[in-house]
Order: sequence, then C-alpha cells, then structure tokens
Amino acid sequence: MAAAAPSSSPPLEGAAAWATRLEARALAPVDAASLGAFRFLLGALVVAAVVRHWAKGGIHDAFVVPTHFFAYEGLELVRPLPGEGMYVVYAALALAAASLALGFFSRTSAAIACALFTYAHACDKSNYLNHYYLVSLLLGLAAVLPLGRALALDRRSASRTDGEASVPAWVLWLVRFQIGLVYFYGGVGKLETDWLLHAMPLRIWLLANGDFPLLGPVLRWPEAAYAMSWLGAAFDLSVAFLLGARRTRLAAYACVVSFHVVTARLFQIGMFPWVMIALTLVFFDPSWPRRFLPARLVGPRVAPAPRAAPSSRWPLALALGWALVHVLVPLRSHLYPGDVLWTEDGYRFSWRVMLIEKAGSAELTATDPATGASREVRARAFLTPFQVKMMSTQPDMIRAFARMIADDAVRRGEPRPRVTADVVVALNGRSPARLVDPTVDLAAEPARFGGTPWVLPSPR
Amino acid sequence: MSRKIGRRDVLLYASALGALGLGASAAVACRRDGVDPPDRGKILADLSTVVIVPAYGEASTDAKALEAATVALRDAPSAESLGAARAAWRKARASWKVTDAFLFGPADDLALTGGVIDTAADIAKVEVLAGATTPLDAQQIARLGANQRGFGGLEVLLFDPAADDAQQIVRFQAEGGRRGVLASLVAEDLRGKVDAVLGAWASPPSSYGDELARAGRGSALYSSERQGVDAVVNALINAAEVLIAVRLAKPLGLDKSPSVAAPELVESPRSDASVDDLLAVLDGIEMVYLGRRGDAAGLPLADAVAERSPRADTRLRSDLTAARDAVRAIPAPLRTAVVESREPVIQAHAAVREVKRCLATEVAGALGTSVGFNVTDGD
Repeated sequence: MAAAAPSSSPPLEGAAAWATRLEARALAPVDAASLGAFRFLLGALVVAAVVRHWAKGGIHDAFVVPTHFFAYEGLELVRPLPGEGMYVVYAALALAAASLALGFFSRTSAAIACALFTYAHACDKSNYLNHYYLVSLLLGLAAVLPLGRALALDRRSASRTDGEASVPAWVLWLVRFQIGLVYFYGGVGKLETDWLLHAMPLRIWLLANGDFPLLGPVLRWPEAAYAMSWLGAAFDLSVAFLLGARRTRLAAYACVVSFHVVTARLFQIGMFPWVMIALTLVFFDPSWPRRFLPARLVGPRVAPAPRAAPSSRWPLALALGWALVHVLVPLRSHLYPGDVLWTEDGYRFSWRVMLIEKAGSAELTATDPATGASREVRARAFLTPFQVKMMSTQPDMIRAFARMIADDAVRRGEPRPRVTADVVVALNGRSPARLVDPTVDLAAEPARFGGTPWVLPSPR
Repeated sequence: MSRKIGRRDVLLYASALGALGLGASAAVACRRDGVDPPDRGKILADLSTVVIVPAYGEASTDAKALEAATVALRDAPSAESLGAARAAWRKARASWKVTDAFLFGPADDLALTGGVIDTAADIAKVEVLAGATTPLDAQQIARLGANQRGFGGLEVLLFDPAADDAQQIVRFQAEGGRRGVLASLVAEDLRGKVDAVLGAWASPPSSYGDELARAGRGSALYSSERQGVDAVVNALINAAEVLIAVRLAKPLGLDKSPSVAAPELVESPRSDASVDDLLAVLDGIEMVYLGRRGDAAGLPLADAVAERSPRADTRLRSDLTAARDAVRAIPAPLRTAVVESREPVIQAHAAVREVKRCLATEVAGALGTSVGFNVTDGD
C-alpha cells in the first residue's frame, strides 16, 4: 500500500494542475471588443426582427387574431395581453433591444429584452422556433454577463466600468459555447436514417426549389439532396470546432456565410440565417472589431498582464452549470420511448432542425359521455389556419386542443365531453399513418413530458 | 506568419470546395438519364393561364349574361324571362363556384368572396328591401350588407320554392317592377365584383396571375416557387375543408350533439343548386390538380406529386372520382336529403373528407407544402 500511494498521486496532481491551468485561462482577461460587437449585433437583430414582424402583420396574426393559445405545460397563465397590448410589448422590446445594442444599461436592457421576448414567445407553442429559443438564451446571458465593457455607452460612466475593455475569458467561451451548441446538436440530430440514408426531408424540399438561380435544375435531382444532407450534417457537426480553431476559422466562417445564404434562399427562414451569420463573428479573435473601429469607440485594450484571481469562483461555477444544463437538455428525448421525429417528445429545445416534413389532417370528435351523442369539431372554429397546421402533427398540441374543446363545452353549460381525434400524418414522404389512438379521450389525458401512451408507433 | 497560413488555408478550402462541387456536379450529370422532375414554375404558369384566369373569365362572362337576363326580366317579366334569369343565375353560380378551389389572391384579398359575392343571404332583409318604397340605385346597392346582395341576394329574388312561377312573375310586375329593378341592380353589382377579381388576376402589367406564374422568378408576391405551390395547395385543402365542415356537416347537423339536421344551412337553398355547388367545387379542385380546363391542358400539379409519390397521385385521382360519385348520389335537393335521405349525404361527407385528407397529408407531404422547416425553424 505504501508503494501504491506515489503511483496514484501523479494523476491526481496532474488533474489538479490541469484544472488550475484551465481556471487560470478561464479567468484571464481577454479583450471585450468582440463581445461588445456581439452585444450590438444581438440587440440590432432583435430590433430588426421586431420591425419586420410588426411590418409583416406578425403581431396581429400571432396575438390578436387567435382566440385560443397553446400554452406550454406549467405556463398556462402566460397569455398575450388583450387588445393592442402586445404591440406595446413589442415596442418596449424594440426599445430595450436598441438600448442593449447601444450598450446603455446593458444588463438591465438585456434583462428587459429577454423577459419581453421570452414572454411573447411563451404565449403560444405554435410559434416555437429554435432560433427564438436561442435568442432568449443569448439575451438571458447578456443580462448576467459583462457584455457592456466595450462598444457601449455604459463605458461613458466611470461608475459603471473599471475603464478596461476586458472580460474574463470564460465569458467569451460561454457565448461561443451557446452558439456552437446549436450547430453541434443540429448535426447530431441529422445522424439518423431519414436524413442520411433517404436524404429526407431535403429531397422533398429541394424539389420545390427549381427556381434557385443557376443550380435550380440540379437541386431537384435526388443526388443533390443526398450530397446536401451529408454535407449539411458534416457542416453542423464540425463548424463550431472549426470556428474555434485559429487556422480554420476564416474558412469555416466563409462556410457559415455560404451555408446560411444558401439556406436563406432555399427555405425562406426569415431572420435565422442572418442571426447566425452575425453572431458567429464572436468566434473570431476577441479584438477583431478594433480593425474596423476607432479605440475611443471600443474602449482601451486589455492589459497584457493577467489579473489577480477574483475572490469568488461562483461566476465560473455558474457558467459551468449553465453549460452542463444546456448539454443535457437537448438529450432528454433519449430518455423517452418512441421515435422523436414522430412523437416529438423532447423535440423542442433540442436544436433539431430541418429533420421533419410532416403533413397532417386532424379530425376531432366530442362525445357526450352520458348519451353517447357525438359531434364533429371544426378546428377552424377555434384556431387560426396556422395553428391548425401545427396542431395537426404534434401530439401534445392535439391533446391541448382536445382540452380546449372540452373546456369550451363546459363553459357553454354542456357536460364535459370525451374528445377523440382521428389524425393521420405523413412523415418525410411516407404514406400517412395514424398518429394518435382514436379511441382515447384526449381531453382527460394529463400532460406528459415523454412516453405518451396514446401516440401510436412511428411508421419509420 | 499566421496571416499567410490563413490565406493559404482559405485558398485550400476554396479549392477543395470547388473541386468537390465540380466533382459532384460532374458525377451527378453523368448519372442523369435526361428525365428531370416537372418544372414547378411552368406548373404555376400553366395553372394561371390555363385554369385560373380562364375560369374567372368564364365567371365574368356568365355574370354579364346574368346581368343581361335580369335586365330582360325587369323590362318584361314573364315565365320565359324568369326562366332565362334563373338559368343564367345557375350558370353563373356554377362558374363561380369552380373558383372556390383557388380562393387565394384577389378574391380573398379584396374580401369580395366572403364579403359580397358569395355570402348566405338574409331572406327577410332581401324581401323587406324588395317590398320597400325607397328609391333604388347602384350606390345604394353598393352600401348593402353582404347578406343582401351577391349570388345569395339574387337567389332570394329569383327563386322561391314556396311560390309557383305565376306568383313569382306577379311579384316582378308589382310595385312598378321594383323587384326586377332590385334584381338587375344586384346583378350589376355582382358582375362588377366578379370583374374586379378577374381584372386583378388578369390585367397587366402586374396581374395576380402573372405574379403566380413568375413565382420565384421575379414575382413581387411569391419570392419562390414553393410559396406559389403552397398557396395553390392550401387553397385546395381549404376548399375541401369548407365542403366538409360547412357545406355538408352543418346541414347534416354533424357539428351538433345530438345531430339534428339543419336544412336551412345548405348552400343555395332556394334554387336547390346545392349539389351542383358541391360538384362545381370538386370540379375546380380537379381542374387545378390536373391543370386542365375543358380542352386546354397545361403541365399539371399532378405530375409534381406523381414524381415524388405516384401513390399519392393515384389516390387523389380516385378519391376525387369517389367524392364526385358520392355527391351525385345525393338525392337532390340537399335540403330535403339532409333530413330524409341522410345516409347518401353522410357518405358524400366521408368521401369528400378523404379528398381533404389526401390533399392535406399525401399531396402536401409530396410537395413539401406542409408545416416544415420554413415554419418551425425560421420566421
């Protein structure tokens, strides 16, 4: 035993030394300029998104027209403000985002923008988008991280800054991690048979892009779909690492720009490509904005000598906790039985993108349990066409709609009906299959976070 | 040093990507047998020029004929002129109902269909207006509610199952021919609305038909072919959905518990044209899907569906045939069938539902027009 002690000690010491070095690197100051640019771009993109959404009538369509909303489980009390209230919310969001962009009370502005943006998108599950979720997370990070130390009006107030445009390196790492995770898990999600072996759903979508300049005719060939599926998966899986490495960064960013410009043209995905093109600039050297902007705007360069270690390690520990949570949350679907592309249990908030082409038709029937008399329910009487489309393929929304129907009957003084659904869905070009058990009273089913027993087996 | 390496890396990557692209293109080109998938741009262009614009053209022509027939009825009420006006109404009505299958664009944007052309009439209000003494003119008609004009309002004036033709003619002769004046003014208003839709679809330089035809190729309305195809397919689904949920389920009382027939909710109740209305919409769906109208034929949407899913194409064709057969099997008029012969109506309802299901699942899935990447991952 006496001889064993020295042999086990070096690895422990080595690990401890490695951790110490890592901590020192994490705490070492880096130029805050790129994070200042990141903050500016994030705020500016949110402003642009608000203006675009407003101008296109999106606020009216999402909050004023619908009479019913699909709440997230546990957030049933989150509802849009009545009347023109959501316009006020969006106006305040634009102001907060503009303030964030300018670096004026950066953290407070980010906190307000985060709260308003998240609130607006938490009102109705139908409106879930991966990049909305990403924007919420980044605004949340901006609310707690010191992103106002460069390129910020905050710098003009000596009381709110130490005068040095620097941040601990872990702050930069955390932001890069959050963005890189989107790509990486996007790639992980593509490592499945439909994407790799059947080039689905890209084959379907590319067929609809014969009008693409020059390449249109080629895109309609199956071979193009296969090539793009594999290249897309490889891109997603590798690009965060390639952006992180100095030697490959520029080329990787060129790929990012090309990839998103092409997907923007192919799929009409709104702000998402431009968000990613802008925000991945944070992977470049922390001082990159100084090449283009005067020092008086950015702030003084970071001091060459490392700072003394701060007295508290809590911020770093919290950052690690945040990262761990966001590594684990997208993996939760693996805890649930069934095919995630079919059941969609754990599909949201997992960065699965471009994996599903679902077309569904849902017919719901309300039956008086006492008399057995039944009636057909027209979804359009409750929901907007967009909500109907979303509901028709997503089991949790079908259940929620069944409850809406039952609640509505009770409100009208009728007995609470059994509500069943006959839903057929075509997944990634397959023959339509029944999605839910048509004999189950969905209005009586509780919300579940996975393993939904009334969802029928996947046709895959 | 690092800058030099960076540039070299960029060149390397660019070369590799270029080589990869060229290689892939060459390999792909070598493998092609010369048969390309149908050009969706041409499908949309043909749909506009072969089906939609001519259909609105026919609706406009028939609306003019209806206006002329009501003028003749106004000027000389008789069994012949009343019969001619009714026949003109039926023809114009059938022509218009075909266009329900492509209810997007001007007819929707201008709020003409739901608002003026094709709203269920309030019989009492129309009869009050016909019996009033206030002067009638085109401006007054234009200010009327949608439930007093359009096809519905005119139907009330021309048809009455509770009165025989002689009684009807007397009504047109009474009170200085006011009923005839009202009918002709409503027909004039209707013709103007139909012409407005036709004009929006067909009038150069930036007609809606042209915008659809140029989807993804310079269209200001549709930045991609996909958006154009989406609009077309969603309109087809919506047309089938309205047939099921509104035109059949409501009169059958299937939306009520317990089910109680509601014959007053059939479409075109006084003319008993309800079954013809249903058939016209199904015809419209088929015209759009097959890209064919009369003897004219273009590159059909069906080819794009069949290219991706022959099964979906076959199924929709057979579902459409079955639906039409089922609707024809309804013993007319629909208002009595929903009460006395419910089973054929229920079967027609089920058959049309299969059409809608096939459109919403197999056809939309094959064309990629469903909720997909564009909605769940972008804005």
